[in-house]
Amino acid sequence: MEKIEHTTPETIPGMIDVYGGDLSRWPGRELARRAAEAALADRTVRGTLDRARVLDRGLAAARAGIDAEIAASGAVGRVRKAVLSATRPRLFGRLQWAAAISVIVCGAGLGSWSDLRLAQPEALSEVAIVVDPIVFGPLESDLR
Amino acid sequence: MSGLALPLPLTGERTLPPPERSPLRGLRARRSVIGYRRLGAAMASLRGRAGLKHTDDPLDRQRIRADQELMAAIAGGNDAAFARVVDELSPRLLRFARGILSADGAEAEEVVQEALLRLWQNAGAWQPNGRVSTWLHQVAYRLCIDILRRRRPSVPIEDMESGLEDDTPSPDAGLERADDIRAVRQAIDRLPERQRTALLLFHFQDLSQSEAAIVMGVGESAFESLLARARRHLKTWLSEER
Repeated sequence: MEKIEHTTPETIPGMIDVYGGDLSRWPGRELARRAAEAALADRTVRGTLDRARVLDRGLAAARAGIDAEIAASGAVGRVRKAVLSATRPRLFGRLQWAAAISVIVCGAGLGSWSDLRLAQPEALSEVAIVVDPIVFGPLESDLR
Repeated sequence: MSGLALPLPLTGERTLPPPERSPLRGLRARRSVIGYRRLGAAMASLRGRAGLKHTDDPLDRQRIRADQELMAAIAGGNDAAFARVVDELSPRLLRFARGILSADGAEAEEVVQEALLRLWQNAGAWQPNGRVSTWLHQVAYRLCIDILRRRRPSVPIEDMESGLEDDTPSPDAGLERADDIRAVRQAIDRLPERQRTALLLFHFQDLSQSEAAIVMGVGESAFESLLARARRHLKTWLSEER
């Protein structure tokens, strides 16, 4: 939000309260330049800017402390695992279907192959059946 | 806002009239006394959207385009793309959630998990004018508010701030305690929720004023006011003698 038109040396301390001591984060180079000039020209503004920078350093240190706690706690890994496993079933479902279809196709193929093999005439052979004459009696050809 | 339509203003809070360029313009404001509605991603997608469509920054536009491609990849089933988003943003979101909730542990993790899952669920509805990080911060913020409300359901958020309104100039004393990390964190936890959120978004999450204002559902002027008050309170408390 451009506030150049409202910027005076008196308003700079109020803007420091908003944007802090890091002039690179101020909204607009011109505004930051005016703040830097005001700090050079006025000891009070410079003091306000310096205190803002002290606060900024404290905030940066607090932020780093939280980051260190998060890293040490393993929270990132837990979040990653939970989120990716919750979104994985989509892929897993496709693999399951692919596996089931593969088994069916392979099974059908094997069955068809074995049927074709059994149906070939060369595979047939004559089988002679001999009955026991004591049990079943003599053959007609033997009686003649 | 971001590509997925933005949540309604939180119930129970002051609803500011949207300024002329507010991304909330056109949305119907709704009020209720106490209690927040859980933000459903499906409902959010029906509401219209707020976004960074007014940005003139070419870097912003480049990032928005990159996010759009990323979301298209996620919607197309690219799990690696989604894993990259999780890896990149979950530490930031955890930091944010912990700060808002003034607590470490399970609640912050649940908030971050839920926000990321909602992003994945709604990847197909992504609108090409927003930032993924802004949207995730927004969802995480709303979820944190739900949790805070459950902790203290009978106290409207704005009442918690009224006793700390202080427009007096910040003290001239040195910030003796600003070097004490524990003191700084205690001071941050002591802030009213909205001031704390503004401070965290700007100083911890490195969002710009416009992005942070979108996350909080307020105008940029209101956001700047919250940020200024938060910094003044911190300076007051950190200047006090132990």
